[in-house]
Amino acid sequence: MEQILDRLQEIVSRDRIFTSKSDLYAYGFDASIHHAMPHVVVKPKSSNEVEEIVKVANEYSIPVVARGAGTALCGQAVPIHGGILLDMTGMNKIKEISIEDLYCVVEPGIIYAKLNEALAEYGFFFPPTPGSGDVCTIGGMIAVNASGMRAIKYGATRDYVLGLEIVFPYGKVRFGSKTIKNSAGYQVERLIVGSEGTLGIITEATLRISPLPEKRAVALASFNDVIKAGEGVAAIIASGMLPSALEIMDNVCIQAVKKAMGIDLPDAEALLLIEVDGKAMEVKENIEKVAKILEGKASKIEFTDDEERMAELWKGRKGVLPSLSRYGEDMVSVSLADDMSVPISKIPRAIKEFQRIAKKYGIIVGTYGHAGDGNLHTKVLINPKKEENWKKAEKAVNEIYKIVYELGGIASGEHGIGITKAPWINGDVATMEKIKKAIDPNNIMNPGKMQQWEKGIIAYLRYR
Amino acid sequence: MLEKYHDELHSCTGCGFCKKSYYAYKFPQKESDFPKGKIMISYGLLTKEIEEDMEVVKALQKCTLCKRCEEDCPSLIKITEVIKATRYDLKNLLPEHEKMLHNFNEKNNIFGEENFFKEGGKIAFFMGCLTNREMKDIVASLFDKLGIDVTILGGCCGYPIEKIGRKVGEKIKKRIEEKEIEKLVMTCPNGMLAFSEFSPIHISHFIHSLDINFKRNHKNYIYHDPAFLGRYLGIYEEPRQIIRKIGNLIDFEENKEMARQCGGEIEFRLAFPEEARELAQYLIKEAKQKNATIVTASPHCYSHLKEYGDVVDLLQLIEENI
Repeated sequence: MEQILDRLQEIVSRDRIFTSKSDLYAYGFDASIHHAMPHVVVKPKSSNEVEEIVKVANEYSIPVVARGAGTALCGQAVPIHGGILLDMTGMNKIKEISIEDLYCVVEPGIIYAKLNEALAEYGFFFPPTPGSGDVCTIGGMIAVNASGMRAIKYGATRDYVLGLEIVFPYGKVRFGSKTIKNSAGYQVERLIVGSEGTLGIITEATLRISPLPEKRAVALASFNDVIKAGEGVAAIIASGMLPSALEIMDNVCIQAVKKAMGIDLPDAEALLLIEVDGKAMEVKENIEKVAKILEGKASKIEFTDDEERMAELWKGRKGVLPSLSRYGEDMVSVSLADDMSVPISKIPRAIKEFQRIAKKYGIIVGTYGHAGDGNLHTKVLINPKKEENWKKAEKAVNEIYKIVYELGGIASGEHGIGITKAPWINGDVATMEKIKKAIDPNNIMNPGKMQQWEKGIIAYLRYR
Repeated sequence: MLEKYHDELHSCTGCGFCKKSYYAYKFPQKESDFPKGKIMISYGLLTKEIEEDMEVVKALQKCTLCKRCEEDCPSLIKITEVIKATRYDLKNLLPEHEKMLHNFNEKNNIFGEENFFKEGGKIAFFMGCLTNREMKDIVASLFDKLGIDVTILGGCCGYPIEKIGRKVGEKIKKRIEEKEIEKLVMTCPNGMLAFSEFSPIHISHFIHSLDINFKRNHKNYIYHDPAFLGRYLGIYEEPRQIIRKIGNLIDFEENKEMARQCGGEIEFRLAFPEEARELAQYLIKEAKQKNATIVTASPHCYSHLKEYGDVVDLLQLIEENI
């Protein structure tokens, strides 16, 4: 290791290399249930530095794991085999904004909210809206193909990646373009989106941008039954209108947000938050349409275009995940089975099944998510100190995924696979492994995750 | 002390929302510079996965305990309580804090300076180290102008010592108990927290209750909520009411519960002057853009912010315009 440290110091200054035990320990967490320590943390400032670091790692066959803000929910940034952890937040520049060409060029460490602050000055935005948008990095979003509540209308990160500069073990390469259309060869940049650092390190991204909508409005609909809420979702989608967000929260989540954040929400069995955006007239028409569609299904509907109230409602929605940690004494929210995607019409069935499974194993499961695009989040609430709880949770999670696949869904809609969802990865893993071997024959890029994971998911636990 | 926070530490989902306000600054260079990193290091110490060394001490002391990050924490983690509890368990102090503790033990003043005392009537003013250094003459003059024969109590309240994780004796408290005091007034929020059992009154509250007519001017004053006066003691309005009587009050973009820390807490800026400077300059920049003089109501904030821009302490503003 000392030899490697000497080599690293030839590439980056000593003050950007962290080796103290406490630093390595702190960097070993993301927002998942897992923890492991790297041997060294390096904070590069340029793609040349990344390239040199990766070259050294490849020479010595030691793992390299990239980390943005550490907000990943499935252990993507947890260095389970040690090695070099790259803190990418030092590469955080916006290199170019070209409004007339509808793109921007950024370094991977830029914070999502900061990029959108800069774009807002031109009346534009980068639309995928992850719940962690105030703190997560664009590099991390690309690595897991993150999205969020506006995916129903605007799509996910992959839909906005026009080009990437990537450092593979054999060197720095570029794919994609600054053009909106591209049929000029393999779109490797799209393969990199969602590859979770297992192929290469993203050092620059060219992203498509969109004009900000003129106006937004939100309807908050309460339901006495989660099935009715699901029918409401299906009816909105079937009507042909395209809301910019269509979110669902079950009663567990409603109570958690009220308790933890003090946000004023109705006491319903389920809530739908429906956002429409566009020109003022269009917004007005669509919000009236929503009211009509939900008539007879919802027990109460509230509308608002007040910026403050809308911000409060979205704050409540984004805070569901961490708020669940305050739901009950001795129970904390752990990130398991967190973002399954099912065909939109299967949402009510999925929620009912999740509730049945939770009851069967005597655990609490809060369900919420992007009902409009079929992407559901569940959070398992357990006392993490007891081993038997983890066993119960693992069994419940297994059943949840089984149902999800039976309903025609997949294990992850937007958070990625990492460790926590590795046994349920979607697609032919042998092909994935062939691609991985071709690019990374020494298996140094975030090794042991996704298709390479071989154990159960209750491993490298961070709870003691 | 940390053991009782075991469940609290488990409740932290690691979401990283606590990093939000830090992104405005350049100084957070690594994970342990953010609240999440400090929480995780506390957890590692508790579970004995890591041991104390000077890097750990530095990571845990590099926090003003201002509670700003808690406003962004959706899991309502008691971040500052955890950090403070961890500090009590640390065996080592930073050299700057060793010196502060030495001065406190030797001279009952964290700077090792002479404390100011004055015998007087039943209204007492607690000076504290920072007020003593920055504005003792102004305090004396203010009470003269008010025609109040004030008793002035000097010495350190001990709160900065507690903040670095060391216990203080009851000596000063005994001195207050011995006096026949009807009202204990002070301007330093640290002192107010240390002496909460005596129900101290902040100077802004005291002056506001006297319903004084002030000399008015047309200047813009932007009020900086000191973290320990605001988020800890809930005093937001009285300083603003006084400023409104003197000039034109404006607010920082982030104010009251969401106010940003200026870096002025003495134990923080002694050990981390560069970080403290950046925190101050962030506020100074906004004040300049708004063409306003910063008014603050804590001697910690005042003595720090004045190094970088146009700043007055509320006590000073009152004394000048009474």
